[in-house]
Amino acid sequence: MPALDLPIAGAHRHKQPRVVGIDLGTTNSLVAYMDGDTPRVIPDEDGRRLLPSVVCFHADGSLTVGEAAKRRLTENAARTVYSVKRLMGRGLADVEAERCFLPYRLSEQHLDVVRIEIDGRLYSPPEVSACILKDLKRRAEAHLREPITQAVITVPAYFNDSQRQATRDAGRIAGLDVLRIVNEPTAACLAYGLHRAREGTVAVYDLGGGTFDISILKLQEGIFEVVATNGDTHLGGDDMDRRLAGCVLNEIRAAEGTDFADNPAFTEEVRIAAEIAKITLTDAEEAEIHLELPNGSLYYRTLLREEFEELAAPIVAQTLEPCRRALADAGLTPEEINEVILVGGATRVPLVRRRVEELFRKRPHSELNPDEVVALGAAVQAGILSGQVQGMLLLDVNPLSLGIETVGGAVEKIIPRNSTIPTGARQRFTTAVDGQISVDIHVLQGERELAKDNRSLARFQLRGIPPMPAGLPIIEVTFLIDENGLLTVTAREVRTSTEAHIEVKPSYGLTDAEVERMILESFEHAEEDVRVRQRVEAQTEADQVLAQAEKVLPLAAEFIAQGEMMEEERERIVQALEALRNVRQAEDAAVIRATLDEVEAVSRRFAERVLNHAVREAIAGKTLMEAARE
Amino acid sequence: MMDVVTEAKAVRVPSRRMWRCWACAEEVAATGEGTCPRCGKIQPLGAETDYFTALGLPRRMAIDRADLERRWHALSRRFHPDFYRTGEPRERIVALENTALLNRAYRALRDPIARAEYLVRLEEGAGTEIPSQPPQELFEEILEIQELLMDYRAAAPDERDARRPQLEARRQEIRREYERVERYLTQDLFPRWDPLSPEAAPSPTEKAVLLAEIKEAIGNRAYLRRVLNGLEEALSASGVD
Ligand SMILES: Nc1ncnc2c1ncn2[C@@H]1O[C@H](COP(=O)(O)OP(=O)(O)OP(=O)(O)O)[C@@H](O)[C@H]1O
Ligand SMILES: [Mg+2]
Repeated sequence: MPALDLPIAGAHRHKQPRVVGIDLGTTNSLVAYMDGDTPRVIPDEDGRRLLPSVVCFHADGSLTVGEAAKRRLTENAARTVYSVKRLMGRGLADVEAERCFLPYRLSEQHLDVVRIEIDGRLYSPPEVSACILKDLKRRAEAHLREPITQAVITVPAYFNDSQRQATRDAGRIAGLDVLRIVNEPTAACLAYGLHRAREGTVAVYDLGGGTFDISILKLQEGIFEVVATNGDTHLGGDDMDRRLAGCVLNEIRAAEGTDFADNPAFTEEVRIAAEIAKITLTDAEEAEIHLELPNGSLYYRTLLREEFEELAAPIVAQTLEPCRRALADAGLTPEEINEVILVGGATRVPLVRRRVEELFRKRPHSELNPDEVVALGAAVQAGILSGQVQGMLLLDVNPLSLGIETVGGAVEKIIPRNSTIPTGARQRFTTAVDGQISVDIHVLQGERELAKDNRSLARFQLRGIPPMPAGLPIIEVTFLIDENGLLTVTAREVRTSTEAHIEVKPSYGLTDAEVERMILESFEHAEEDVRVRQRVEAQTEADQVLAQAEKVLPLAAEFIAQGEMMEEERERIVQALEALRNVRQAEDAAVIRATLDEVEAVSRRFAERVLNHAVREAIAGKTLMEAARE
Repeated sequence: MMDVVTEAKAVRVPSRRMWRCWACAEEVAATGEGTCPRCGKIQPLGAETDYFTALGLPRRMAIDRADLERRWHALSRRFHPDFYRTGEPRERIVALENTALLNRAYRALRDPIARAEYLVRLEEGAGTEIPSQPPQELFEEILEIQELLMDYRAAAPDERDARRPQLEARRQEIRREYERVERYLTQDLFPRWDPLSPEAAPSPTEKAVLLAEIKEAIGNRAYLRRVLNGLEEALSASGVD
C-alpha cells in the first residue's frame, strides 16, 4: 500500500464492494448505481444511457454489442441476435409462434433449451444475454473505476422459475454474482417510492418491448408489499411493430405480387421502419413510411395515428385482462388504487395511456423516465442489500401457483400464486407398490387444472426409500421459494428418517455443468478480462493516491519551514506524483503499479510526518476540547 | 397436507423451552425475541413453532387485522433475507426459513376461514381432514341443481336462454345459503371458541363438539362455493356464445 494512503484515506478502500442494478430488457438494457442516496444510470463513454439488447456474432469469432450491432442489423440480419429475452428459459415448442419473426436461426436439435445457430456455432439464450451483461459490467467498471462483481438484475414479474433461473445463469456466465432477482414493476415502484413518504395502494403498469406486467403494491412506512401481480411474458411494443410491419408487407404484396419474404434483410428493414413510424406517432398525428424494395421500386405511405391505433388496439386490449385479474386477486376495485405508475417505453403510446386512464379512472404518473425507472429501482434494491439504503423493504410475491402432478394428470396446488416470498410448503408422499424404492415427482407452475397445460419445472426422482409395504413409507418433500422466486426442493423419508436422494432434471434449464462450461468458454477472453480488471484496480488506486496527495501536500511547506523536511524531498514526491498522473491512463497495470511503488518509496518519510502531525493535531484538539469543558 | 417449512435445526437443550444459539451456544428461550441475547445473531423460529406463536399472538379466532399486519412487518424487518445478504451462510438460512414461516403464517391468519382451518388442525393434528360436503338440508336441492346444470350444458345454445332464469334463481338461492353458512361460522361459531382458552379449563367434550361444528360448517361452505362456481361459470359462458 502506498505510504500516502496512510494518514486519512481508508474509508473508501474498506467499504463493501459496490452492487449495481441492471435492467436486462428485451430491447434495451441499462445499468445504474447508488450515488449516495440517489440512484443514477451509468452512461457509456459517449454518454448513451440505453444499451440496445442486440448482439452481433461476426464470422471471425468477434462480437459487437449494442448500438453498433443494432445499426448494422439489416446487413447482418442472420448473425445478429435481438429480443433474446423472449427465448430465455424456453423450449423450442414455446417459441414456435414467433420463430418466423426472428431473422436468426434456432437449432432443430435442441428442444428443451433453445439454441441460436450462427455459422454452425450454437449459443444458448443465457450466453447471449451474458454478452449484454458483460458490456454493462464494463461500462460500470469504466465509470466507477472499480471492479464490479455483484449485481441485482430485474426480470418481468410474470417470469416463471425457468426464466428466472436462465437470467441468473446469464449473470454467472458474465462473471456477475446475482445477489437478487427483482421484478421489474416492483423495482419501478421502489424508484418512485424513494425519498417520497408515499403511503397507499399503487398499480404499476409496465409495457416494454416484449413483456407486459401489472403489479399492485401497498406502501406503508417504507414497506413495499406486492399484493398481486399478473401479466404476459410475450406482449409488448414489439408486437405493435410486427402488426404494422405485417400490414405494410400486405400492401407491398398486393402491389408487387411478392413481399420478399426470402430476404431477411428487407423484412428487418420493414420492421425497423414500422417501429420508427410508431414512435413518430407518439407525438405527431401522422408518419411517413418510405421503403426501397429489393426490386428497385419504391413504397411510400402516410400513416395516420388513427390507423395505427386501430392496429395497436388489440394489443392494448390484451393488457387489460391481466389488470382486472390482478385487481380481483388483490380484492380491490379500480377506485381503490391511489396511484398508477407507467413503466416501459411502449407506455408512451397515447392509446396505451388513454386505456390505462379509463381502466383505473385516474391520470397515471410518468414523471420518471419510463425507460430508466426499472434500472433505478434495481439500484435502490442493490442499496438495500448492501446496507446503503436504510428503512426500506420489498415484500414480493410468486406470480404463478406451484403444484405437483397427481395420479391421472391433475395438478395439486401446494403454493398459491401471489404468496409473499420467501415461502414454502411441505408435502407427504407414499408408495403405490410393495417394496417400491423410488417415487417420481413432477413439479409444475401455472394456474390450469391439468398438468399438461402448466409449465413443467422439473421432474424429481426420490430414491433410496427403504423397501416397505405399499403406502407405509412417508416421504416428506419440502419446497422452498426464496426471495428471488427460485425454487429448491429437499426430501426425507420420515419413518426411517433417511434422506431421500433427489435427482433434479430441470425441464427447461441449463444444467450446472453446462453453465460451468459456458463460464469457461466465455473466458476464452479471460486473460483479457483479468487484464482489464487489474488495470481498473490500479487506476482506482492511483486516483486515490493522487487525491490524497493533493490534500496533504500543502503540509510539506510547513514541514520545510520548520526544518523537518528538505526541499529536494518534496521535489522528488512532486515528480513521482506527476509521473503517476501521466501513466494513470496506461493500458498496462504493471506500469501504473511500478509508478505507485515509486511514489510510495519517495513519500514514506513524508507520510510518517503527516501521520505524526495528524496525531499531534488530534491530541491538541482533544486537550482544547477538554479545556473547553472545564 | 401443507405444513410449516423450517428446516434450520437448532440444537435443543434438555429443558423444552430453551434452545442453544447456533453461533455462540448461549441458551435462548424458544419463544423469545428471535435473537441471541449474547451475540445478537438471529435464531431459527423452529419447525414446531405454530403460526400464532411465530407472530406472537394467542391462539384465538379473534384477530385485529391491523395489529397482525404490524407484527408481520416488524418481524419481516428483523428476519428478511435482504438484510443478511452479506451474512454467514448459516445466518442466511435462518433468515430465509424464518421469513418463509412468517409469510405463511401471515397468509393463513389474515383470512378468518383459513385461520379457522389452521386452528382446527392445530387442535386435532396436522392431518385432520375437513371434508367438503353439502349441508344436510340442501342435499335434494343440490342434486336437482346438478341435473339442471347437466341439461343446460347439453342443450343447444338457442335453447339455453329459456333455461337461464331457472338457473339464475338457483344461483341466488345458493349464494344466500353460502352467505348464511359463512355468517354462522364467523358470527356464531368463532366467538364461541375464544372463551374456551386453556385457562378457562373447558371440558374436553365442549371443545370437541364446537370443533366438529366448525369443521362441518367449513366443509359446507367449501362445497357451496364449488356449486356456486359451477353455476356462475355456466351462466357467464352462455353470455359469451
Ligand atoms: N416514444 C415512443 N413511442 C412509442 N413507443 C416507444 C417510444 N419509445 C420507445 N418505444 C417502444 O418501447 C419499447 C421498448 O421499451 P423498453 O425499453 O421499456 O423495453 P425493454 O425494457 O427493453 O423490454 P421489456 O421490459 O419488455 O423486457 C419498444 O417497443 C419501443 O419501440
Ligand atoms: Mg423493461
